[in-house]
Amino acid sequence: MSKRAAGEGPSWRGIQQNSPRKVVGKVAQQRRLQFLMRTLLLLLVVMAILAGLVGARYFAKQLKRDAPVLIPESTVEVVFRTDGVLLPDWFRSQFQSWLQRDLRDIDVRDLKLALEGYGQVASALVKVELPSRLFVDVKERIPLLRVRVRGADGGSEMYLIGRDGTVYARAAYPLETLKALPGVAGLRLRRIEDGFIPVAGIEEIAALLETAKEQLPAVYRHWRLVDLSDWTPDSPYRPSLIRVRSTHIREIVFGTQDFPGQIRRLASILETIQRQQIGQPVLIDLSYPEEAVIRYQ
Amino acid sequence: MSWTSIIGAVEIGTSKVVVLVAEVSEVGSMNIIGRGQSTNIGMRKGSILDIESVSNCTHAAIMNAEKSAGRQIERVFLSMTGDHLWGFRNSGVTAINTHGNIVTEADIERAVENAKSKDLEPGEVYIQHIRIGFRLDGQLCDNPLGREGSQLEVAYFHVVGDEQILKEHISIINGFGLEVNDIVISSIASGSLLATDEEKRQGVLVVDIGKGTTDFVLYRGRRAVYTGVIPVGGDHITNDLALGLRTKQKLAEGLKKRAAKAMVTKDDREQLVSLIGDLTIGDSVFPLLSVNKITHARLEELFIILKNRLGSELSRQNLPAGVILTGGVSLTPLITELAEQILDVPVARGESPDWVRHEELRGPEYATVLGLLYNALHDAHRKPVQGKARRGWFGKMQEIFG
Repeated sequence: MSKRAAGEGPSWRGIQQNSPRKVVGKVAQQRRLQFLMRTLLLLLVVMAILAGLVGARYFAKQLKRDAPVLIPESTVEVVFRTDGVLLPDWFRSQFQSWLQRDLRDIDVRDLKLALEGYGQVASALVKVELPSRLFVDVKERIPLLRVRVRGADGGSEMYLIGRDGTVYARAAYPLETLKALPGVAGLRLRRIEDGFIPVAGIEEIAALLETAKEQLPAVYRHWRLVDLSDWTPDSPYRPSLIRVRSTHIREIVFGTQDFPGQIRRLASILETIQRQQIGQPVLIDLSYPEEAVIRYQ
Repeated sequence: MSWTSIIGAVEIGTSKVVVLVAEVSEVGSMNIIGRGQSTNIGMRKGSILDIESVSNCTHAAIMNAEKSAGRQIERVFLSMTGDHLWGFRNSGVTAINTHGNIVTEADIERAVENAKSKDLEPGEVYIQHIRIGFRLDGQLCDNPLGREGSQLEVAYFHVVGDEQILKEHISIINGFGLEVNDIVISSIASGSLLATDEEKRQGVLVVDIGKGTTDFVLYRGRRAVYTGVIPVGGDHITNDLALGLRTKQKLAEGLKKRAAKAMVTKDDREQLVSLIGDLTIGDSVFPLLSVNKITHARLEELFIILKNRLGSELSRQNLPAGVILTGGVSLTPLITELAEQILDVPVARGESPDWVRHEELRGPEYATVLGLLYNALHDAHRKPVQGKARRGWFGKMQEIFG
């Protein structure tokens, strides 16, 4: 129907254009198809270019990271051993200035302390064999959890928490290893000059994680986050709880007593749920001594 | 910032669809940058018989035009013809009530509104309102604003068309993802191109004889004062020839273009004309006299209808600049002589103005689309293009990726 402007008769301009009943012939359809194909091609090209750029940037970063650090020639022959992931190149790059000196001028104790200043190094043994050989034997901390901390520039930085509660900056860990570690939330870290005060009582968490890893590796593999908001090891008034978030179960709550027993109960619950096909649990609370609270989706 | 707009003039004629693409700039200059044409097989005498076929022909012509221009059309100006079009004069009158009886813009608006407010039959819509002129207290005047008077009258010639047919034409353009910016009736489109300002001032009749219809427009005092459509065109001559000579339409069409004249001459009696033209097997010959007699009869009838429609308007006094013939049929030899004999006014074939430099575009078949562009140039110059006309998700995508 044509619309009528105030005071004027009906005009052709009142005819609704682009109504659904417009005549789209073969030519127009072909053209639309051609245009869509062209657009698709253009989008693909743009996406390919973008992917290329992103890839190039990634590889450039990788190359930069993997590029050997240019270390000035040193007369000291270094024999570096570790039980972890640190490499001789890491040692050479970090202690470059030390290695420029004459081996006789290197204070073995100072070097040991300097090495142990790195959070990742649990202990170090330094030995000199004159005239030019330096033995370094390092024992590394095994990371238990990873934690994100706000850095000085406002961005987030990743730190690791060892079994003894030491919070340290990562060095030389492959990304896959770090990704496999559960994160931690609800933990208050206190800064000291160039690091953090070790987390007291973390052995308890370590015991839980190690028990789970050992007894129920298939379930542990999906643990993503350990929430320590309700973990109060020193408080006699509140129950101390460890909440674990995993990929498939939103929350698993553990008490701080008898981890092997709790893990066994968890295994039994999961097996029952799977066998009887009851449904997908979203919460399993194992903090009660004899029973468990399970909530389904 | 200066703007340019890509406009397309589309004429969906009975025999073919013609599209021109032009780039209009802010300063009012226009460059014709593309041309597309396709044979139309879905129309007869200006009416759509097979909308899908017409749609395909139109879309093919637009696509060719866009391809040759290398740009995409943003706005479409569409010409309209057909026997559904008709017109009437209507005046709007208003009393001047302001202090000192000075005509204000509000008075003019009121008079114009009155003139345009006449109700139409259901299914009819206004296509164009052509202002004929103002009368202030009965006296003709060009611009009454600021003048003193007690009664203002404005006269309009209104062109009206069938809503359903207009919807069909618009939906064909919409089907290509374009929107119709303006509709101009064919006669006004070709008239605005072929008649000079001086001719329009004196009084001139422009007659566009197409394949299915004949459109005409009468100018006086630089304005179009009357337009009309006669449902007779070149197709009728072809039909008559096919019937009279008992031959096929296609062959009759070829014979018409090759040999037909609008008047019978002495030599025609002896001359023979071959049907196909190469005297191959199946070709036959006819006396030229028969061909010309048939052509003459139909064209004579057309001019008589035209004369009757215009009545006293068609006189040497009212049309000092005479009649301008255009359209494909205007190329028929001796047609101006025949028209002059019947209409009793000077008759000439229309010639495109000098700014149409491309020789191919100077032919009468392009008069309507060139006229559309000429109209669009003035329209675009008055109303700067703010946004693009393509609508819908497809149109928007085309704006981005096209």
